[in-house]
Amino acid sequence: MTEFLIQTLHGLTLGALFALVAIGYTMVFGIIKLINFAHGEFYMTGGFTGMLVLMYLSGSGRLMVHSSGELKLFVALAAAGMAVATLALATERLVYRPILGAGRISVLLTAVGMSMLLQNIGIGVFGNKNTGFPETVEDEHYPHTAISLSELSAGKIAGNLIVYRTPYRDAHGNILAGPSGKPLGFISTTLVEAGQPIDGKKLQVAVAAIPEDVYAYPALTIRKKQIIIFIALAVSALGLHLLVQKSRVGRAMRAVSHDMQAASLMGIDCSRIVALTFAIGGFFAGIGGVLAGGMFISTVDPMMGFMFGLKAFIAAVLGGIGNITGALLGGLMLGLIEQFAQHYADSVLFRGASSYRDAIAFVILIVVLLIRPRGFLGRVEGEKV
Amino acid sequence: MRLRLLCPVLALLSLALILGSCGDGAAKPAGGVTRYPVGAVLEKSGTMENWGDSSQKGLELASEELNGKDGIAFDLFVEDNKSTPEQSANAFISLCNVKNVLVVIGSVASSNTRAMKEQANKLKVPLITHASTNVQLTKETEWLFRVCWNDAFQGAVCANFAHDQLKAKKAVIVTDSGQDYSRGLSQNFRETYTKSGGVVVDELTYQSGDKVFTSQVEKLKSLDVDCVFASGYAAEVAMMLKAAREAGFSKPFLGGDGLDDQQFFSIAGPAAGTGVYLCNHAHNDDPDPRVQAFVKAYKAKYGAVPPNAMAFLAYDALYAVQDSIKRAAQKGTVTRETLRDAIATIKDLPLVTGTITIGPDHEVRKRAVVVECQADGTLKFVAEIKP
Repeated sequence: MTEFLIQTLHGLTLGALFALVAIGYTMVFGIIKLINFAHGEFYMTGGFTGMLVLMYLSGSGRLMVHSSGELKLFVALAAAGMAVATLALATERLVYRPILGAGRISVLLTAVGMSMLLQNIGIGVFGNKNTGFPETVEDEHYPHTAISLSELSAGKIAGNLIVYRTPYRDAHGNILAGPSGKPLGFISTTLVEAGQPIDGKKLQVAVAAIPEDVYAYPALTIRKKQIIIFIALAVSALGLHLLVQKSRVGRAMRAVSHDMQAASLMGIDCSRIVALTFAIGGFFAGIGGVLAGGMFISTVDPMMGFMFGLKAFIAAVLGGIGNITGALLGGLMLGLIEQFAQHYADSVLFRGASSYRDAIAFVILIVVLLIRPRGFLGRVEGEKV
Repeated sequence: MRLRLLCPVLALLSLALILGSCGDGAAKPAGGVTRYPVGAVLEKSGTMENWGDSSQKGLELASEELNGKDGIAFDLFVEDNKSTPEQSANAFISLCNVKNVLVVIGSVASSNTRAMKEQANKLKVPLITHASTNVQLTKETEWLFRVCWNDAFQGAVCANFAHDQLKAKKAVIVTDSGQDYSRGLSQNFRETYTKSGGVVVDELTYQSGDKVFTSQVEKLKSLDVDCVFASGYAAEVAMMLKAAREAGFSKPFLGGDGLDDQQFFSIAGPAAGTGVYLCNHAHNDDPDPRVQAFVKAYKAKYGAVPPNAMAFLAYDALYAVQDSIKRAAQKGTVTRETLRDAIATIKDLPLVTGTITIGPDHEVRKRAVVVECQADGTLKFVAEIKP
C-alpha cells in the first residue's frame, strides 16, 4: 500500500509538470485551432533561461550570492516565464500571424518547422548534450524529525525509517559548500528500514560512526521539490481561472474562442487576444521548463522539449483539447499512467515490459479517444477558452 | 576611400600567395618524408560530441608528434558522423573514394562503427576503431581492427572488481534497453559475476533519453543489494545516481567506460563523489612516463582540461597506424592490403593505454583500470586489472 502511495505521489508530480505545459497547447488550440508544435521548445527555452539566470545571479560577487534557494528559484521562474512569454509573442507575430489565413495545414507545418528551428538554435548555442542545472532548493523530505544520538542509541524511535545525512565532501574530506556557505547537498544513508525492529548493538556501532544529522522519516514522505511543483500548479490554475472567468480580457478570450468573427464584430481586438493567449501559454511553458527540466530533473538539453512537449500535447488531448481544466486533469492522469506503467509493468505484464512504458501510455490514450473522441472534458462548452 | 580598402586586401592577397606557395612545397616529399593520407570518422556533433572532440584532439596531437618520424607524416582528414550510423557510412565512403585515404580511424559508438564495417569489407579499406567495444564488431571481417579491449573483457573486469574488491555478493543490474553497448555489457557482467559466485538480485531497465528515475530508485531502495552495475551512458546514469543519493540509497555504483564523460559530472554534481567506480582504458595519474608525457603534451596544447579515455585511445590508434605503415614500407610498397596485413601483425607495441598485440581474432589483450569518480570531477585510480 505504501509503495502504491509513493508511486502515486511521484506520478502526480510528473503529471503536474505535464499539466503546466499542456495549458499552453490547449489555450492556443482553443483560440485559433492551431497545434503549436513549437510549444515543447518554449519549455526548453524556459529551462535554459532559468539556468542562465541562476548561473548569472549566483556567481561570486553577484546580487543573489547569499539569497535562499527558494528566492533564487522564484526569480528564475519569473525571468524564464517572462522571457518565454516574449518569445511566444514574437513567434506569433513574426511566424504564425502572417500565414494564419493560408489554411490549417500550412500553419501546422510552420509550427513543426518552428519547433525544429528552435531545437537547432539550442543545439548550436548549448551543444547537443545534457547540462547540469544549478541546485537551488535543498532536497528536504517532510515530515521529518531530527533526533539526537542519545535518543537513537537508546532505541527509543521505533517503526520509522531512520536516515542520517552527511554533506558532500571533496577528496580531502572538506565539506563542499555553495557560495552562501551552506552545504551543496547531502548523501542520505538509511540506518534503519521502515517497520524493521532496531538492533540495539548494531545501532550503537553505527551511531558511534555518525557525526552528522540524524532524522527519522515515515515510509511515505513528500519532498520539498514536489511541494513546490504542486504549489506552482495550484497557483497557476487559480490565476488562470480568475483571468479567464472573472476578467474582461478573459471574457474577450472566451468570446474569441467561441466565434472569432462575431467577437471582432463586437469590437474585440482579436489579434491582441490571440497574442495574449500565446504569451500566457509561453509563460507557463517557461515556468514548466525551470521546474521540470531545471529543479526536478536537474538537467537541461536542447532536445528536452521534444518528447516532453509531445506528452504534454497528449495530456491536453486526453483532457479535451481547448479546455483548461481538461489540460490539468489530462496532465495528472498521464503522469500517473506513466509512473504506474514504469513501476508495475514488469511484475504485472511480463519481464522487460517497463521498456514499453510510453507505448502503454499511448495505447491507453488511443483507448480513451476511441471511447471519448473529444477527451474527458471536451464537451463542456462553458469552460472553453 | 577605395584605396584604403584596397591596400589591406592586396596585402592579404600577397600574404596568401606566399603562404600558399609554402604549403605546396611542404606537401612534396622533402628530406625523405612521405605523407600518407589517413581518414577519421568521429562524433564531432550530436549526442556524443564530447567524445568526438576529445578523439580528434588525441589524433591531432599524435599526428603532430609523429610528423616526419621514420620518414612518415600524415595528412589527417577528419569527418563528422553527427553521432549517427548513416552519416558514419557516408563519411567513410567519401574518405575512401574522394580523399583516397589508406586507412580510417573511428568511431566511438559501436553502432556507428558497425555501419562502417560493411563498407570497409566492401571497399577493402582497413578500419581501426579506437573506442568501440561491442563484441560482435570484429567478427566476420578482414578489415576491421581495434586498439581497445572489448565488452566481454570489460564486463568481466567489472564483475571481478565488484566481487573481489567491493566485496559485493549481491548486485542489481541496470540496463539502457535502447543501447547495444549497454545490453551487451550487462550480459557480459552477469555471466562472469554469477560464475564467480555473485547473485544478480534483479535487473532494471530504462530507455536512452529518460529523465525521471523515481521508479527505478524506489526499486533500488527496496532491494537488498551490495552494489549497482549501471551499464549505460553517462547522462542517464548520472541522473539516476543523483536521484538515488537524494532518496537515501547509498550503495556503490559501478559502470563501464561509457561513464567517462564530462556530462556525468555536470549532471551528478557532488553526488559523483559518493562511491562511483568505472572501468576505463587509461588514467591520468598513471606513473608510466609515456602516459605522463602524453598528459603533459595534451594539456600544453589544449589547455587545462586533462585528456579523457577517448583522447588516449585515438592517440594510440594513430601510433598503431604509424607502426604498421613503417613495417609495411620496410617490406615493399604501402597499399591498403599490405597495410592491413601489417596492422594484423602488430606485436608488443607499447602505447599509452598499454602494450598491445593484435590477435588472429582482431582483438587486443591489454590491461584495464578501475577508477573512482571524485566530487570535483576528476577520476582517481583504484586498481589495474590485467587480462
